[in-house]
Amino acid sequence: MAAGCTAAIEGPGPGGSKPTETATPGPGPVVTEGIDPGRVGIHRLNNAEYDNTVRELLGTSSYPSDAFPLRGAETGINFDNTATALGMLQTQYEAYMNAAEALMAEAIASDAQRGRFMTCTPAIAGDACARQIIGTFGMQIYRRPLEAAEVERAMKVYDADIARNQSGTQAVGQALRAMLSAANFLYRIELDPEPSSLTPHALSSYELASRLSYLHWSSMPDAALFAAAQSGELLQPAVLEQTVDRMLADAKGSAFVQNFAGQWLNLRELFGHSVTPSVFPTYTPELADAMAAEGYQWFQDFLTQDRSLSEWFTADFNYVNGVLAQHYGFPAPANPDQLSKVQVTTDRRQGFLGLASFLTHTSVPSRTSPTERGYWVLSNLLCTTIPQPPGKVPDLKESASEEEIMQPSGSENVREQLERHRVDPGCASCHKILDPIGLGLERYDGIGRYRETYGNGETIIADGVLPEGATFSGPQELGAVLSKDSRFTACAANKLLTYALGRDVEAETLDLRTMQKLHEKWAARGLNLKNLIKEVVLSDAFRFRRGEPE
Amino acid sequence: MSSKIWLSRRNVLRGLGVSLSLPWLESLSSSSSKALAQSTETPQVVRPVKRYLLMYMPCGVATAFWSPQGQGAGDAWKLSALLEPLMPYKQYLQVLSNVGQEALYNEGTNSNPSHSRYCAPTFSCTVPDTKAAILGGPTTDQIISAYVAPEHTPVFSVGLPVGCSTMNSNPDGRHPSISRSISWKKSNEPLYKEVNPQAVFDKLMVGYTPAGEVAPEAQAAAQLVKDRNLSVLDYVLDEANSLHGKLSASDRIRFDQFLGSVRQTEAQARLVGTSMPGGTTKVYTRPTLSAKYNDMRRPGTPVEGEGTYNRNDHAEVMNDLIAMAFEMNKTSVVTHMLDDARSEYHYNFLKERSFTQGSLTSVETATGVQSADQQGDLLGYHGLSHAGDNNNGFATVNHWFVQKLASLLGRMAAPTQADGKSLLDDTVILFMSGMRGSSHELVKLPVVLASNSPVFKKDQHHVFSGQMPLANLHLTLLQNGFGIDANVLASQAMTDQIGTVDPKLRYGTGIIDALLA
Repeated sequence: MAAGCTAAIEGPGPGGSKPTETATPGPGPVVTEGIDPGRVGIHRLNNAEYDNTVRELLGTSSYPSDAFPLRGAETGINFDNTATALGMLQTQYEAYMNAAEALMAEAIASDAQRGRFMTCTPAIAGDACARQIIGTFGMQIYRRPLEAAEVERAMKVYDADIARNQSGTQAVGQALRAMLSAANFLYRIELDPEPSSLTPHALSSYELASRLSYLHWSSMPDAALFAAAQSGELLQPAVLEQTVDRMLADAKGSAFVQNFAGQWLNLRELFGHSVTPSVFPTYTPELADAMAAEGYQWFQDFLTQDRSLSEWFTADFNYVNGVLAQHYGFPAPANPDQLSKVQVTTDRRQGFLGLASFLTHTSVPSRTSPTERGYWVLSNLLCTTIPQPPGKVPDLKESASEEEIMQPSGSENVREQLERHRVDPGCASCHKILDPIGLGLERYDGIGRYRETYGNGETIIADGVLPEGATFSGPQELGAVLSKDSRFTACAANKLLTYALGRDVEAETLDLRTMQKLHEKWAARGLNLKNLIKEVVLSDAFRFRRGEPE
Repeated sequence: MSSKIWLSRRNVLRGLGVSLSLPWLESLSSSSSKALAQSTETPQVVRPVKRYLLMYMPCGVATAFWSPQGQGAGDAWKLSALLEPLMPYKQYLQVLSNVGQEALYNEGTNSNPSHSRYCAPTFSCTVPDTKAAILGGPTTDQIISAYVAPEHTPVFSVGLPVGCSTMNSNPDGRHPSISRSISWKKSNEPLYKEVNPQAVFDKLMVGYTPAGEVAPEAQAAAQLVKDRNLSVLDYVLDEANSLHGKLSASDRIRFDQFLGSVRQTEAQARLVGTSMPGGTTKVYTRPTLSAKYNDMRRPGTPVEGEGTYNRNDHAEVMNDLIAMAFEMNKTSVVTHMLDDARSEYHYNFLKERSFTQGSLTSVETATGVQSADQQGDLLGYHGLSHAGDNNNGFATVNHWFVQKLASLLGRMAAPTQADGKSLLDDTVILFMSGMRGSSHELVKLPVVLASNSPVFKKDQHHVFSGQMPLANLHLTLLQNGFGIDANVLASQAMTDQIGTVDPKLRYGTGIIDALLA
């Protein structure tokens, strides 16, 4: 097998700046910008990636991860594909063993599935047909060509099964099952030629193919990607860009929206969000599903329409079905069972901050939480670190005193109570940063409906001053202010790079230059999501890696 | 939605029936349990207590109704309204008042407390890192596992972490392992709890075999399954060993988790079809309840935790499984999280109880747990904990937790053992929370010890003057219960502490004589 696409890089280590070229087997060189690419640890396939991969590989319609014990526990701080957060447990490994056994039993029993790998009929020990199947299908399982010793290791499993009087078909299935239970399948492992060297080296074309496929599809590479990896063409920037276009256009590209936007925008949280039924009797599972679906469609619209992210806070469109239209007070859509794009200009609802999904998951069950909304926008859309509370002040969301202060009791409304809260210097340091954005959104209630007064009839004042000095009145003006804030696009780039690499991005230290360069090139090209993905994919951090000191 | 049945080796055995007792295939086993037992034989250390169970309430208690009346032994003290369900088992209890670990938290540089950060630190007595999934050292159950498990059973060498949770609980902006796991093998290795009763049951059944006659064909089929599993594991281990040396330093550490998991799986696979020590003739039935986290619900599939799901059934079947694990001698250590630290699970299946300060009983009302704050908001577990230290909703949930301890004691205090002893005779149960109540305080923690071991005093309410370090309680159980010397502990390489914690705070300043008979 012609595997050797790994390109050795000569030249400066981390911090060096001289662009370096290197020879590769494919046409065209791999050029580094001389930026420290950092490194990504071994990456266990997360549950979604595992399911998608075996479905693609074997044509099964099952979701084996439903039986995995780490279901519900594999969330990183940012995304559930953070390599270092994907640990292993004995019970999880046992579940992988069981899944591989069941998957191969199903594949062998099904004509359609068996045809994917059983290209000849093996019968005896050491059979050349078995060796051929292991080599070709094994390449798909390991997402790279197998070394000769690896084929022989799998052949031992095959031979042992033949010795147990199993049929050739069963024995091949057993060998493939062993590979599906192995580290090279369960983990994405990118090997460094010198694991302790800090000198960056280009990823092999197969490693790059996997990075691309798990970024776009949360799944393994397809035949076209494998072909581009084999020829080495994939290493060319122009081919990389075409590949991004192709992969996003593919139906499997919905995995990117589901997994990236679903986590970045916390759309998944709506499944677990609960409200107080007596306060919000119209909040139903159907409405929650419609809110989440609108969030996905909103993101998808920016992606497929090449819409600039500068419109994020001002774009005036919504995606509604019957229940969501009613919720927003929009005219009923022609087809109430399906989301359709609408533009209502009289709704005082614009941009991302007007989406019911965002407004709901940042509220507490019975009311809004301006602090929570402000905190979410700052940390997820502006990537601003909120200073730690001084001394032993309890967590933001947990303070009993805050819970009390949020109760609309007596004659004070929420704004007045928060203002009183900010008089305390211990609280003020954070709350003067957190509260203005949330107070600017007070005209949307705890499930995102527009209102002008509180329950007691008092008019809602949604004026504010951001810590940077900008003033606004009402959510529309707040959106306009935020749309000029360059922290948002920098934050979007940070989030996408984090997701694409599967490691936390250290924007202030290790990845400072990567982030600067990324933002610069993206801005020059036009601030839409496709351009961002392309610039991420072309960055050194995506195409190169290095070792680490012992 | 797929509902196919996995053809695992366990299903093959299950297909042969669920009632089981007699060892079979013993002659086929090259490494029988006897050989295993011999190979791990070490100089005999006296371990008066054999089993350790942690039951954890994450959010503290409604403190107004927690403290027992009076102090001392026997009739000198009375159970409080929250502890009332334990009345039939008062003779096994020691309730500890004024235990805390505030001193430890004062040592930490970043001592901002929260629900999630109390889980593992309650049992490791360390200051956790705020962001990373790092909690500074193994929890007590893992220390005991490391010493005791090899002498008992190789099956669950890391104990059995279980819990009752199905909600996608808020992780407090930290790694979810922190708020959802109380058992940590190392500072960076959480042992997630298993919430699915069927999965726990299947795990316990490994190595056990159907009662009565087994047809030769079935024996041959089972042997084939075993051989093929071992063949796969040989391949996986061979490949993993060749990969190991090619990895960088931090990857090797993470890959060791994989290698360890595969080796454990192999050890279990070798046990299939062999007899197990301490076998029982009892017949166990696989639970019908299957519970899962619902974080990744695909649209169109039902939400776990809704519909027919009943948390009380879940908790009761977990109690069955804990007793079963101990009876079968499958593990020496079980940890049980009664809920997640930031769970907003609505306990509205419970009838709200009415508590009165000073009263030793509570009265069930006609309505479900559904209100606690002044607005009549429906609050989940964590929300209730913040609605004041005397609110009936939160107290009702705490009361239910105590009921679950009582129902487990009912199982464990019965003379079910072959020698007429009860499981509780050589078990110690530590039932507690790492926080006091709505205030997040680390002092005056709710702590109950239950045991019928002659090592411990019985029927006691201790009120310590001045704060008794929580580490001293752990130290007493480790040293006097399990024969694990404190000096050995402090020098162990496994104690990978971080920060600048005074070891005395971590390992305690001394044992608590008052607890010992």
